[in-house]
Amino acid sequence: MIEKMKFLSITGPKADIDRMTETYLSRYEIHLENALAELTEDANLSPFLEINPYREALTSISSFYEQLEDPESITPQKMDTETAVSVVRRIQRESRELEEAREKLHEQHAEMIDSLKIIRPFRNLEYDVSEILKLQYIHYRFGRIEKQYFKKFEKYIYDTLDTIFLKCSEDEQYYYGVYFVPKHQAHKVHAVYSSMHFEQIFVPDCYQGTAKEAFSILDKLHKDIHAGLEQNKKDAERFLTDNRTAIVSAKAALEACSSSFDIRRLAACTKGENNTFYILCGWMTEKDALAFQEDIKDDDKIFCLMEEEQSPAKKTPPTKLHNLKLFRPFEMYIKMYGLPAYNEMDPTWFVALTYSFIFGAMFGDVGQGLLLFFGGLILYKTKHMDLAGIISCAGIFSTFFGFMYGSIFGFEEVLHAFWLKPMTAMMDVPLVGRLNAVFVIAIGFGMFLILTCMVFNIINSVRNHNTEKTWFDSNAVAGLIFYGSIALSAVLLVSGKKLPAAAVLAVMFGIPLLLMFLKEPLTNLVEKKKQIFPEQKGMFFVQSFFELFEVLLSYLSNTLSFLRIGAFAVSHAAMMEVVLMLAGATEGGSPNWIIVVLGNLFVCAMEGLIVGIQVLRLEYYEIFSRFYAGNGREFLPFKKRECQ
Amino acid sequence: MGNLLSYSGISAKIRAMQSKLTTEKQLLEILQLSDVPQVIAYLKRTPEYAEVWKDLDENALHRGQIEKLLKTSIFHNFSRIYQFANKEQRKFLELYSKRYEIRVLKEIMTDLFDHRDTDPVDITPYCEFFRKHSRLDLDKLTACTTMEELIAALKGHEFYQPLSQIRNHENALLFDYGMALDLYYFSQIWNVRKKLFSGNDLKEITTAYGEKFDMLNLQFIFRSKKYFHMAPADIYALLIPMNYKLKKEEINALVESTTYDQARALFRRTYYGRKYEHLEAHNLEEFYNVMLRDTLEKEARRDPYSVAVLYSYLYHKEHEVYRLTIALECVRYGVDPQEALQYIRNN
Repeated sequence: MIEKMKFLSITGPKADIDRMTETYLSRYEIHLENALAELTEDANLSPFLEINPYREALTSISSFYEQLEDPESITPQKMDTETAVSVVRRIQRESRELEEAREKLHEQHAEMIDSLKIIRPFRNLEYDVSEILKLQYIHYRFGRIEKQYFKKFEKYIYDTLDTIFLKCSEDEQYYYGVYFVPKHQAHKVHAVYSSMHFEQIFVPDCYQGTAKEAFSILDKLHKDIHAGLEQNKKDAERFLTDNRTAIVSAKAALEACSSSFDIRRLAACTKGENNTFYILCGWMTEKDALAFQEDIKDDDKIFCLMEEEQSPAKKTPPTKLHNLKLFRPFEMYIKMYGLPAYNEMDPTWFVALTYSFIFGAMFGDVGQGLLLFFGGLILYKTKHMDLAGIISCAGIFSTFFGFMYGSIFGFEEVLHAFWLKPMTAMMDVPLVGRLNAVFVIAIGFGMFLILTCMVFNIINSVRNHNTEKTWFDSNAVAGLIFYGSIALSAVLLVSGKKLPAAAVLAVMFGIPLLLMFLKEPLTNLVEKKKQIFPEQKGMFFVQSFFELFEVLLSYLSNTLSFLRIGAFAVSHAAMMEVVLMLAGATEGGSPNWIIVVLGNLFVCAMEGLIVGIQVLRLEYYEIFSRFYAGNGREFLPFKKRECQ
Repeated sequence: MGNLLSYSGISAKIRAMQSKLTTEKQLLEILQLSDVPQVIAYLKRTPEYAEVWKDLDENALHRGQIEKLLKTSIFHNFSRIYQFANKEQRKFLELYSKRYEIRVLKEIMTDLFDHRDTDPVDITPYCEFFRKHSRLDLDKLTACTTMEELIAALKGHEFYQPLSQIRNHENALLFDYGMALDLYYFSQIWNVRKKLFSGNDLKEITTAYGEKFDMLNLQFIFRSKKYFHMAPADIYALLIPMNYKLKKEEINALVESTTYDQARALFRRTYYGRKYEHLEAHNLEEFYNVMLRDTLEKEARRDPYSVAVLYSYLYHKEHEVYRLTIALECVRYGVDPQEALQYIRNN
């Protein structure tokens, strides 16, 4: 069922819009349209422009919200707008303080890290660095030298040169140290060192005490800064966790305010300095609309105009599905395909019935059906999964067909089959030979479904005043007669009755085919258009011929497609037979129960999945494609009705 | 006794292979020939190259291509020995094969420094060998266009460290990089020899490489004295940091000596000066080869069941190729056979 819609135009003084939204729109679901776009004929309207005062606070709180771990797990508390804004201000201020402290630490770190890096290799030097730097008659150089060169230097040169090299530290490649040389020798000795690839490191005069002391002071400072940063990080984290409820609540409150405020985007304003009015347009269900009108009768600041659905001809009303509680899970499949248009038939009940029925026929097993039913039901009730609801419904029919086939958990002998055994029941068909009865029944059922769909299509098309689709299309009256004739002939053939005379058959098949062939000119003729045949007649005939060919082919393939119902009924029984064989139940004696249970679970899961998909395929391809367009708009209420 | 068993097979094989090497008599015959295709035809008749070269057309080959083929034969023979060797012997061969890696790297680096874009390094002689015996990815290395790229491409390889160290020096030249590789390789040999080898093998390797390093150091010292007049400290920086028979004091004195003549007098008093009478400071370069061959042959003869046999053969094979290359050049440019033989003997 598709809910009846009413088009409402609500108007009132400009300043009153927030109160109106607050009081009424939270109680009545309304699908708003852009008022300016709807009321184009009235030029005296302007957009309702006002800056959203909550935007900034909302952006800021959202950034904090994103830093929270798992924010969805926290339930927001109710908070009014003023509190929310003040919470945002407080959080911003406190986090800025943390931020500033961190930046300060970073600055300090950057300042000291260079001097620390320089002094680190020389930290074992037990002399006052600044004194060394002030030496007058002795030259010195801090630096490093590659190990292999240092070895040569030590071996061949060091003893003969007037220099002292103090090794301070080493890493994998280098020795770090400082050498001293008397002033008058400096030139020569520097040359020797540079031949040995000594690399000078410039040491600034910024250290206190010996290198060792200077290093330990700086190192401590460095560690302190890192500890400070670590502490700052922890503080920031704790700050977030301490305030997480506040953040979540404030965000929720502000979001609500902001989105209510955003109603202005869809509103229009009358022009003028004073006494301006807002106008809102939108759709409400008939029931809501009447209740709303009743409600605002005493409110002298709100005026509401209710129109019939057709009057704003440009836009079709949005679709809101309303179905029996039992069928509601199946709305999922409809939404996956596309919602029905407002004036289209809602196929939910049809899908619900056929889907469950076909699923049951393909998966007939009392035990597994009951498992699906209870499993689905529990999941549907606890987790509100639509798919679980569908499985549960399908499980009922599964159980039903289980009794029909006499099958429980794969044991075919325990129950008596009320109807037939898919594996063994056979049937003679003329022209084809001996077949499983279920195959023939499946095809017959498919033909029945196809015919039903054609009827639906005709009804839909009549409602839409679509001549071609009512009379001449492959799913229209012409198609119905043609396919019906085939079905009738098939039934007569199988039941062994005589076919009608050839002349009658020719009429039954020939005329609908001719109609389908000439559907375009015929439509033009009925609709009294000037040009009946298209200009290029040759092209038209070729195209129509191939289209007709394709139509016939698709009748055949669509019909055969329903074979899968029978095939899966047989395959289910066959798979369970394999399971029982593996469990050793076929040879008599007690079967291996573990294998029986595991096998049942496996088949139940796999077959359930495959059958579920196959039936969905039947629904979408063979059934929906005949009568259903699915190009409706969803009814999106501006505000969800608050749950009482 | 253990050595006798483990080396009996390989030493027989090497003796067989050695007998195929081109002799001095054959070289003399080659020098009499009038052009390059004739030399190739001649070589195709020798047992060393007959099998491998039988499908080649001597008239279509350029001298450069022949040189590559000769090079390939070195690697080919190395692989044959490697296949035959046991685990212990392979350790030596693996250590030895690094010299081939260094050789290729040097070729590539020469190219990089000279910007010889027109004639990229031809790696075909090495390809096969490197796939089997090396972790170097030649295709990747030859694709490099700067030293930076080359060093980056070597990341993870043992040569990365010495080369990247050189990169830190100011205006490092091709020579510095090549030197770094050599020094790295030599110190590796010297440092791991005691771990890898024992007994006779250790002794042979110590002698062979010890003398080689000493001779190289002597060459360095005299070259820098004679031609480059380098400061002592710069000379020290280039020396291989190992001493065998040269004492530290002797090296010190040689490097610090102010004149070339003084250095020559000092040299006479060293182990090598005393051992080889003909060895003079001025013919060190030529004598280096003679001496090395001499030492290796002597060792191989004295200890036919030791690693010296392997070393000696590989040396001879490389030497053969080198001599053949010279012979080819002489034939190509019509050098008088007697004069040509002189060049060959000197090497």
